[in-house]
Order: sequence, then structure tokens, then C-alpha cells
Amino acid sequence: MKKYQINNFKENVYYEKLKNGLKIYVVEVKNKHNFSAMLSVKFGGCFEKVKINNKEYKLKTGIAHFLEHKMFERKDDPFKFYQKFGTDVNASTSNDYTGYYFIGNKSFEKSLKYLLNWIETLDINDKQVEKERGIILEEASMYKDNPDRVLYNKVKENTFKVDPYKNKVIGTDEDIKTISKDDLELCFNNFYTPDNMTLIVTGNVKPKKVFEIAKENLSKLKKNKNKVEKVTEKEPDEVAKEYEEIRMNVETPKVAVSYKINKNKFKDLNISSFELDVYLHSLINISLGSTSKIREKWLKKGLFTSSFYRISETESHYTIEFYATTNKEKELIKNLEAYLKDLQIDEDSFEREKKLWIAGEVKLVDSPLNILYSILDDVLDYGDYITDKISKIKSLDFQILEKLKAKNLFENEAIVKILPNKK
Amino acid sequence: MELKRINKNYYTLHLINTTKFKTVLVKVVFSSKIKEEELAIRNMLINNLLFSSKNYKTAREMAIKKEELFSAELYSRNYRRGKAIITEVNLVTVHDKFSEKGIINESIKFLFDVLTNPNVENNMFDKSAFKINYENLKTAIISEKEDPNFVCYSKFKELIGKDKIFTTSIMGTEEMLNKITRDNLYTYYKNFFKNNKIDIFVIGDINNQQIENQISSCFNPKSNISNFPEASSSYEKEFNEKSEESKFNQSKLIMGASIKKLTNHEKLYEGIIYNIILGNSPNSKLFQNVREKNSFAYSISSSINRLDGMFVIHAGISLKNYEKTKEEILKQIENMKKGKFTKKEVKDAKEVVLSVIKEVEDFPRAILDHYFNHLYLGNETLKVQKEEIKKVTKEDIIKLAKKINIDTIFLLKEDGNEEISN
Repeated sequence: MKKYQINNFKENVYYEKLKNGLKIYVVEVKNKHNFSAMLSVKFGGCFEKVKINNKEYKLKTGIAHFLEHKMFERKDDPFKFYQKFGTDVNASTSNDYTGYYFIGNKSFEKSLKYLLNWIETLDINDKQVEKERGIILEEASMYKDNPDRVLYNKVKENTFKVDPYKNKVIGTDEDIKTISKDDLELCFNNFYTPDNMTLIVTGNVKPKKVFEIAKENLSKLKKNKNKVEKVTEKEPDEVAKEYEEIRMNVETPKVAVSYKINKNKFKDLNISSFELDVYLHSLINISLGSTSKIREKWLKKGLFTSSFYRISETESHYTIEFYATTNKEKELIKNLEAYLKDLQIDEDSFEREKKLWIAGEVKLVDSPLNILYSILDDVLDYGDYITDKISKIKSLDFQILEKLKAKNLFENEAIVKILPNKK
Repeated sequence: MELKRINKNYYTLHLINTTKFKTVLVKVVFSSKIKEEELAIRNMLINNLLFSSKNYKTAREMAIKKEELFSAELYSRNYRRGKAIITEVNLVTVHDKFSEKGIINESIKFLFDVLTNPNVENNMFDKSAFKINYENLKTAIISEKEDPNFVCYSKFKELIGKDKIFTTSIMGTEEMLNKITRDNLYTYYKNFFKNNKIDIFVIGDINNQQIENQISSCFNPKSNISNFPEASSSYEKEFNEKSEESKFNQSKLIMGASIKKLTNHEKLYEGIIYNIILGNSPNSKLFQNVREKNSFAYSISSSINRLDGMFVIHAGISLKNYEKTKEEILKQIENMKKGKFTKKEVKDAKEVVLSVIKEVEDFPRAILDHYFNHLYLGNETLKVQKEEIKKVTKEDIIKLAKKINIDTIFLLKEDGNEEISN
């Protein structure tokens, strides 16, 4: 069990990797009633082609999410178990992982033991799979009414050609309709193994006790005997589809412009992935965020009513995605494309940007659940939790930001528009 | 945690001293009786005040200032509680210990500067800021119509036929918005402090005297209102069922019941337990029977709204399942009256409430919300709440269940003509 101080705070993170490969992180936050725990499995919407003992399988889209639903099928119902203590329990599936978690303030030890044993077995029959299909298809149908979600999914689909990141986590209707018990069991047996899991516990807990319980309950789990590999095809730098319009029940058009950037572009900067993330966010926030001159100019011209950006990454690429709700979508895109050729940045803004990141780190520690997610994100993005972010942020260098800016980042573009139904 | 309440001339200052958090939260609350003609303008005012000010002329200057203050968060919330409208302006700032000396003071100064020095010239709000905020609010009002849940709920409330104030969006309507000008917004501002009860809450690791002096020196409103407005309302209705067409992919169903016959104690305690057992948890009767057992619906939940005097069930369904879903819901409501639930279910539901009460103390916002509800909206202290919840029995729930009868059903139908696409 190793101990690291989080920034200059009084809170520490305790870490250990069990022999079977399971990683455990614990943060005790004193003065809190609540605790939260998540067991995350590295298996999500982005898993499409896999090799198991050198045999290739093409997984159906939406299978990780379907499996998440089916994990709740147990004789001792998880919802019933946790409600006894008034504890919330749930799960979520993203592109990269499936996480099972609880948040509560009573009977921590029993709660943790349950979580750890829960994830060990899958016991389902065909009838139960059939029933779940109906529920998931309803869920998918609900998402089709949400224009923001439709836009987000379409941007992924049109930006990527072969990377499974292009798929919706919930899957296509056709795939949801054909996922079988055997499909689910194959995934469970090969991905729900300790060497593919991370346990994170935060809040009102004693670290020693957490490790004790985890070892007692998880040490018997064996590493996966099968050799499981994700098959990755080379994703080209070009986008899959440069332009698309969708008609929907919206009052004001929504538009997204996505840029795809090969990660190799940043190799010469010689900086860590975390630093690159901060620089990239800073570059966009300084030049296009709420303190930028251009945003003010565009707001005055009424080029949009609301907007935000998102930076995502796959194994090979970054995407920088701009979203806006606007009645002047053509003019906005024209202005954006022109401005991206020469983004405006300055050193004062960069210094303020650092304050923003520092404040973010301070606020995290006030919420056990937020620290949990911060650790999870780090583990997925960087392989480990970064505990000294504040000192790393303080030492960032404006010259590197300028170098980053000088790179031609905005070559490969995909535009998606959601326009009101024709009346 | 130590609480101090100070009655100033025109506002009440509430200071909660605690070392639990790394941030300081300041909340300024304006409360008054809700009036239809005020809905849109109240939003416009608060949005304009927080958008720019005399000293920070543009949204950009405001944003720069906030970043300098270690990313101070300044945000508002405008909400209805029964017949009262409550407008909050919140400031969250990182404690000096984790940023730089003087950040808390500087942030508080900034907050009150924003409230008292609006971006006004010649008795009119700034033109460009006004226009942007007008467009934003307009878009927000219009996009509510894109949300099937909102659309269905509004139509449902119209069907109950309470005051119009109750069915109109808290943001107002486009017609109301169109009546607002830069001058009449300023006139409204000049009377705003006068026409609202004002409370200021500060929670964090603070020096009480210093905070009190600082706020006195920068905020001197002249409010005429010293009492919190009466909030609770109720309705009564003959049975009514209606449906309407829509363009959405999924149908939405709402079934509602008046809780006028419930005692105040039942609304505060037994009603909460009833709601959890029937429809507000994954173990609930509705979730288990309507969704899990029969796959009639993807989403189903219930809620009890004490101050509006109603109990409501929401479901997202396929149109073909409408009759079956309705029958199943009605059957579950009948079963509650017959006592077809276990003592264990009552116990588990109580644990859920006790857990929620306990976690209030973990979050500055939750502490202030609880304290505000206790002061003005009839909730009891956390300690009393815990005791009263523990006392609830199965018999109490049956007694209450017998008073709950669905009186209004509204169905928003999915678009049957459109092909479902991915």
C-alpha cells in the first residue's frame, strides 16, 4: 500500500495493485458522512473487434451497455440490497469503460463486499435477455428525441472511419435486436477479469479496511487465462463525412464543427499527456472562451446564442469539437474557420488559465464523488492518478503554448447541422 | 458548525462557520409572491445583472475578473415554490488558504458591486448586453418546447386548471419577453430590492465580524418586505383524461392526484415514504411492475410536491402500451391502499430518506438549501426530520394511500408517421 499526498492538501491517496492485476485507489476525506466506491471495467462502447486466443470476434455495437444492464439481473437484487442502507447504486457505460458504483453513508463494509462479489458472476437466461431488449430499445428511442445527443453521436460517426469510437455506446437498433446470451457471456468472461478492473473508493472510509476487504474478496479472482487483444485498424487522418444536415424537431438550429488531429503531431513537444491536455484546453479556452475578444465580437453580432467546446481523444487522434445553437450557422462557421487559422493568445490569459485549473483541483477535494471521477479519468487517460497537478500546472510554459498554436491543427473538418423540420 | 443570524435594517444575514470545506459560498436570496407579469422580466433582470456591470462593462471583462479571483463562480437560480418566487445569486470562491490572501474579500466585493452597479446609462440597461440576454432567454423559452417531458408536464398542468401562474414556465413566455424594454427593465430594477425579502447566507471557514462589516459597507438595499410570502397552494378536480399528438419519438404519460386531503405531517413525512415505495426508486412498485416485469416503459417515476399540493407519476412509453401501462399504474395505486407492501419496504424507504438527511451536511449548497427551507418553507430541522421519519409505520402509509386518487391523466402521443431512424 503506497501513500501519496494530493497536491498540498491534507488528503492522501493510497494505492496498491493486487497480484491478479486489480488496481485499487482509496482517498479518505475527513468530516464527510458520504462515501463512494466504483469498480470500473475497461470495456465500453469502443470495443468492436477483439482477438481472443488469436481468434477474431466482431462484437455488436451496444454490447457493453447491454451487459451493464444484465449485470443487475441477480437473485439478490443490487437495488434492493443497497436500499436497505439508503445507499444509491447504479452503473454507467461510456466509450472506454463500464463502472458500477454506490454512494451512501451507512454500512460501508457490507456495501463494498457486495459490490466486489457482484461483479464476479453473470447468471442470465434467454428470457431475461429478451426482456432487457425491450427496455434498451425504449432507452434508445428516448435518446432519439434529444437533439444534443443526436448531434454528439453524429459528430463521432462522421469524424471517424474505422475506429469504434464512431459507434454509439447504446448501439444501433439492429444490433440491440440481435445481441444474445452467448454474446454477453463471451464479453463477461473475457473482460470482467481483475487485470482489467480498477477499484476506487473515496470519502468517509478507512483506507486500511478497504484494502483488507478488497484482498479478502478479490484475491481469489484469477487473471484472465485467455489472451485478449483489442484489434485496432489504422484510423486515417481524413474524416469519414465532411458535411451532413439532419432535420429534427428543434426550434433553433444546432451546429457542430469537429476537427481531427493525429497525436503524432505533438511528439516533438516532448511533454506528458497530462500537460498536453492542459495546453490544448488552454489554447482553445484562451482563444475562443469567455475571456476571448473574438467570442465577444461574435456575441455582439448575434452569431450564436450558446456554445461550448469539447476535446476528446482516441488511441490515435484528438478531436476538438465546437458546438453552437444559432440562427446564423453559415456565418458562424465561416468566421470560425477563418479565425482558427490564427488563434489569439497572450501570456496574461495563460496565467489566469492556470488559476482556473488550480481552483478546479481545490474544489474536487470537497466532493468525494468528484475525486473518484478524477482518479478514474486519470487512470484511463494516463494509466495512473496524477497527484501533483497543481505544481505541474504552475510550471507550464507559455512558449510551449505558442508552439502548439503554430501547428496546423484544423485541417480535417467534419460539420454536422441539426435544422428544424420543414414546416 | 456554528450558526449566527443577524437582522440588519433591510435584510437578514446568516453566517455559518465551518472548517469542513475548501470553498466559501455566499448566497443572496430575493423572495416574493409570484406574479405572472414578473416572470420574464425577473429573469431578464438577473441575467443582465450577472452579464456585465458598470465596472465590468462586457461579458468578457466579467469573465476575466472571475478568472483572476481563482475562477470565482457567479450564478443565479430562479425557481418557484408553490406561490413564492425565489431568485438566488450565488458566489463560490476558493478559500484564501488554497489561493491567495484577500481572494474571499475581493470576491464578496465583486458580488455586491455586480448587484448594485448595473450596466446602465441614461436610465436604460446597456443596449448590447440587453440584446444578447433577450436572445438567450428567447431561445431558452423556445427550446423548452423541444423537451417532451416539459411539454407533457405543461399540458398536464393546464388540464388541472390551476392559476395560470402555475402552468406558465418560470422563464415566462415570448409575449411577456417582448414587452420588456431597456427602460422598463431599469424601472423594475430600481424597485427590485424594495419589493423582495432579502436574505444573505455565507458558509465556510470565515471571520464573522469581518464578513458582516464588509457586506454592510458595500450593500445597503431598502427592502419594504420583511416577511416571507405564503407558498403553499392546492387544487381539487373531477376526473379528467386527455391526449394530444406530438412530433416526438416516444410517448409521455402523466397521471396526477391532488394531495389536498393530506395533513401537513403526512405531506412532510408519510407522503415521502409512500412516494418512494410506489414510484421513486428502482425497487418501487411502479419500476418493478411497469418496467422490469412487463417492459411497458423505459422510464417511470413518481414525485410528491407538497407546496403545489400534488402527487404525480411520469412515464416514457410506446403508444401501443398506453392502456396496459395505465391499468398497471392504477392497479399499483389500489394495492397501496390495500396494504400490499411489506414492513421491510417501509423500513428500506425510511433508510433512503435518512441517508439523504445525513448527506445534507456534506455539501455547502445542501446545507443552505435545507436551512432556507426550514426558515421559510415549513421543513423541520434535520434532527426533527430524522425522528419523525423513524416513527412512520405501515398503517400510517395505508391511511395516507386511501386519500390518493388519480384525478388527471394526460398522454402526449408519439409521432406515428415518422420512420424511426438511427
